[in-house]
Amino acid sequence: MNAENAKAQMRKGVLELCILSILSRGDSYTTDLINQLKNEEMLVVEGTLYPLLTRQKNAGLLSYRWEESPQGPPRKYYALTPQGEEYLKQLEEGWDKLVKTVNAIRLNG
Amino acid sequence: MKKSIKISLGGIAFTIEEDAYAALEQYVESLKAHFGSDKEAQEVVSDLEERAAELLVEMLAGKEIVTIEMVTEVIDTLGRPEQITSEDMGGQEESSSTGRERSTKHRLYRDPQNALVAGVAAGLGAYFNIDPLVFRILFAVLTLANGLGAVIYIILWIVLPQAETVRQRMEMRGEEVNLSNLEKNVKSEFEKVRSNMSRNRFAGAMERFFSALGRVFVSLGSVLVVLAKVIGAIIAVVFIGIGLMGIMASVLSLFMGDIVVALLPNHSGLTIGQLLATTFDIGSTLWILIPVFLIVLIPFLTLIFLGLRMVFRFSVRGSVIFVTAASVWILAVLMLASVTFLQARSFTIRESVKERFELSLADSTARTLRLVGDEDFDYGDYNPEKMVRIDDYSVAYNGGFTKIIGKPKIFIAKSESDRFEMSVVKKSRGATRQTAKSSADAVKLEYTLVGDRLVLSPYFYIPYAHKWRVQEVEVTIFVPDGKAIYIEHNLENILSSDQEYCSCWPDEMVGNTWLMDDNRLVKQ
Repeated sequence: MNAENAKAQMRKGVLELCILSILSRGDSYTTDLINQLKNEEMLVVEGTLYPLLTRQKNAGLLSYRWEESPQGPPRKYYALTPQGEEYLKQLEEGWDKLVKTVNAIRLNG
Repeated sequence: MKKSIKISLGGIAFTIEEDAYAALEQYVESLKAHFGSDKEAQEVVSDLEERAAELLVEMLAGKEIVTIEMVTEVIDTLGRPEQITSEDMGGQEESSSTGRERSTKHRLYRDPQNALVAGVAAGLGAYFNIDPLVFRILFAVLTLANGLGAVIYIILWIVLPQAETVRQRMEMRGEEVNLSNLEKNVKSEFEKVRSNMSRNRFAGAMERFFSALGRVFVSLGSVLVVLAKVIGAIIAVVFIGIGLMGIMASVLSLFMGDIVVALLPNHSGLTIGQLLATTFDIGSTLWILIPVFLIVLIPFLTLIFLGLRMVFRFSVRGSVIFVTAASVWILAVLMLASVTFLQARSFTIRESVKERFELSLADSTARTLRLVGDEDFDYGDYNPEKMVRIDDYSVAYNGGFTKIIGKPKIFIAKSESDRFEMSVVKKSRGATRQTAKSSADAVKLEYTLVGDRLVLSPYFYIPYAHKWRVQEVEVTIFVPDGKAIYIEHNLENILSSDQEYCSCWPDEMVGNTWLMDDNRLVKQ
């Protein structure tokens, strides 16, 4: 058993929730998302984010638009769809419940 | 000093050192191999490329050239495919507890990388781990035979998907799809892809320079290239097909010929070698069979070689092979020519042996001689049902020995004396007078005189020890003036139609009695 491995598994579980949460505060382009997630140490390698974003977009949770950037090529801005907001709400409920349960087990045991 | 290359990544132009480029390209290829080729995967990869470009711009910070260190840092930041996998949650295959993906699927695909037409044969070859040539030939032969090959090919073309990603290519070959194998395969295909990509870049530059006109020419050119490739492939397949069929036919006829002959009804058991031995002097008939075989085979082999070279475009020193093939062929021709020439010498001299004797009938006053064909020709232990007939001769065979059997010719002539007489002239060819004479002498013709009946064998034969030298036997019966000869029906076949004393056909002569009246034979 490897603690790093277990932690990675945990992060995997909540990464989706984190992406949706960040986007719920406002549209953002991928690099912004990465920077925020990295600051919080949610992301070890950036590559992980892209398949996830594409999947969420294809599932209808996200939409995106191209926006000109001050330098370089246009950027992809992601935004939460109503469906995504609904989905996020469910995930947040699940998360709160999970934290409560886990803490209850950890602290009362 | 390092060589650098101009590339475009995520819509941004970079000048990149060669080793850095190689590393970056391999990384992008491994991503492509990992994610597959569907639309979603393409989107992910292009997103990743854009991010890589963004990171490189940050790292350059005013510098000109992308180095290997920068690329390594980009890769570490974005993560290698296996890292991405272990961090990524949603992929179905990746959800196994080990975090490694496994697939032992073994699927049939079309293989576009080794394709000649549409990659069906290449895919079959990869699937069964057999040289695709086997399937190509099979398709070609089946197409030429009854068109079935083309039908099957087209069906498979439609039905089979193309193996595009490294994962699919591995499934096609039946390799276990896990990350280390993927990596290995990506590396092995790297060089191939690299050359493809540089060609694509060249095409891109062309387009920029020549705009729409250039694009038309490029696509026209590629259409022509494809067309030429297809035509070349068809020609190659036809070459190989003809070559293989020719070889099969010559092997069958020369070495398997005996087996084929053996399947025929009334087969004598005689082999081609034995048949040749009835005429040729040389100890082994291989001296004839081998050059004939080579003379026939080499052109077909050359066709196959040309076809294969067109298919695989290998650069064997073709000239060496052609010169060797041509010299062997000429050698074989010379060998056959010399064998034939030497043999022809034994046909140069014609000699004959003649004997003439009186036929002393039991009753010397008898007026008519009865000429009768022997119904019971003694074939010895040769089976007359199983003879090979060639022109006027037959080759009888009894399992070990051959005997050549021929038909004599019968003439009726006028006797100078008042007695019936008979002459037998045996003719033969030979290299010298002596050999021709002894060969003629060896010919056997059997006859017996019983009372007034001359019983004549309808065949003469050449004993086993003697070769065929166009031996002929002429039998003349001399009928004295005022006496007659009766010719029996069973001699019709061997009666000469060129009779000096009677302008009549053999079918008239048989079954009748003929009187020698002065200088003519008169029917009684």
